[in-house]
Amino acid sequence: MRADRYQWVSKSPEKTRQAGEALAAYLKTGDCIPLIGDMGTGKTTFVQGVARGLKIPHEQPVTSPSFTIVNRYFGSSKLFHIDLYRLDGQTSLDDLEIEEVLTEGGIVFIEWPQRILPLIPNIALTIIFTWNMEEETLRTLMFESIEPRFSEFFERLDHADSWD
Amino acid sequence: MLILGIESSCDDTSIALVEKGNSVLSNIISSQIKDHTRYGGVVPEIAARKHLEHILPVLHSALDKADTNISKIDAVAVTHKPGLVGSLIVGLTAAKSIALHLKVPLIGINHLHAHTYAGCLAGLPFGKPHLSLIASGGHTSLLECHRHTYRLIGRTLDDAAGEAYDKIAKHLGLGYPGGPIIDKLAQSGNKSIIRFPRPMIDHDTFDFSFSGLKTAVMYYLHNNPETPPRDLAAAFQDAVIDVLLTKTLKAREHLAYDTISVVGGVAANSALRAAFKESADRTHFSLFIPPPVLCTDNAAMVAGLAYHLLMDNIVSPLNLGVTATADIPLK
Ligand SMILES: Nc1ncnc2c1ncn2[C@@H]1O[C@H](COP(=O)(O)OP(=O)(O)OP(=O)(O)O)[C@@H](O)[C@H]1O
Ligand SMILES: [Mg+2]
Repeated sequence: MRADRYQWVSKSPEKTRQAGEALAAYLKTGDCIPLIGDMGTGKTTFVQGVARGLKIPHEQPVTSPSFTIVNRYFGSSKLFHIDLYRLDGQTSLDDLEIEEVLTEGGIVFIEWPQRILPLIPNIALTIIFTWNMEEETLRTLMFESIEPRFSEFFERLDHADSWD
Repeated sequence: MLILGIESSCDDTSIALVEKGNSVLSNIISSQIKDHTRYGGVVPEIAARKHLEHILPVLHSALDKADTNISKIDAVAVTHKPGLVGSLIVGLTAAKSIALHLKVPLIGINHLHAHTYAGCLAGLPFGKPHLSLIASGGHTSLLECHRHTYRLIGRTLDDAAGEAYDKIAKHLGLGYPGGPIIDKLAQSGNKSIIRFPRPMIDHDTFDFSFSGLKTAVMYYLHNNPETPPRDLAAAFQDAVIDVLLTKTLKAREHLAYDTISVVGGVAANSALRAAFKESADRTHFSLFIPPPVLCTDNAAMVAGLAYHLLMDNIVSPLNLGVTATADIPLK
């Protein structure tokens, strides 16, 4: 099947969060979303927005899981935020809790997923984040999915500039 | 009263023997005894398998070093939250087996509470209400500590301070772990040629934010590629320390504490220690910063805190479980 690709430029951290917040409505339990991109391109910032969309209470701020590896949040759905930044190539899924997390019935975002990408089941959507060197607050987000259910979300992103 | 402490919530497996809550007979940490050339320091020991490999050798060296026998212990203390479930289970299972076999009490400990207790191992009287700054790779939090009750008054909203060190070091191609490398490099750098932003420093909350420093350093380097890494390191470190110190002092003033402890891996940083000491001398508060080995993850802080819980008859059931998340009551 041909993958749908949609490219979008975020003009601020808040716009990135709003995009994540909007995406939440199109996600379902069991979805895995790998987030690919260099340090500081906004992967964690995006998940902060998703948490807003999933009604995760404010008392649980979404922080970087780079050291903790797996962060769990409970809102209208379970949100698992994984980060494999510190892991080396030899790590396998069963060394961590990732295998369990993937089957625990939540929505799973994975930063630095490259090492386990071929092992991830149910990739609903992949997002690739890149810097824009002209401007400190611009980031390009490339969305890729083979599932049609995200097309409405992409349409909404077209109007992101007019969001509050 | 001899307590055996076990810590396996993060990268290191550690076991300690502590007498009466303050006399550390031994405090063995797996990274001290493992083969450094093989691990090179870059592979985190997060996998439960690694803890399983380490726990018995670490236990034996802890008992040897303390020159004691396991049958002499009066209680077993273990970190049971927060952390990776699989890793925590290794420590907890060992602790339960020992407690069951020797018929001694089991005491479950919160990793963050244990960190603040490291201040008491550095001389802070346990009964003294104080403010504790915990700064490490995984946490940056401000806690009010009254004996063994805690209140979280501020925390990072994105990256932890130690994480910022590691990521900036990696970006500058300096290696891992970033904390000691940047600390050393910054000593020869000029911190005043660049002024990086101090996120949230003027906010009226005690929360922190460090993720913006990644962007700031990255763009600065892009626009000024000739900048010596030592100056970048010094300016970056200055921003981190400025925020940590300013926020802690603000909280101290606001909540009227005369005693502060600074703990966690980042508290091993020489410039941070110097900045807090200078401030304590100038503005007259009592400051407790443990020696570096008690700042980073260790089991002495676990066994030490457990003594006071035991004295207050707070022990855990043998069906104690592990919890991935911290549940410190919020403000
Ligand atoms: N348009 C933007 N979208 C997202 N973040 C932005 C944007 N402009 C600036 N930023 C800033 O860039 C930083 C992004 O950091 P964040 O931790 O989210 O990145 P990350 O991709 O998760 O990095 P890491 O690989 O270290 O985990 C934040 O400080 C954010 O405020
Ligand atoms: Mg991140």
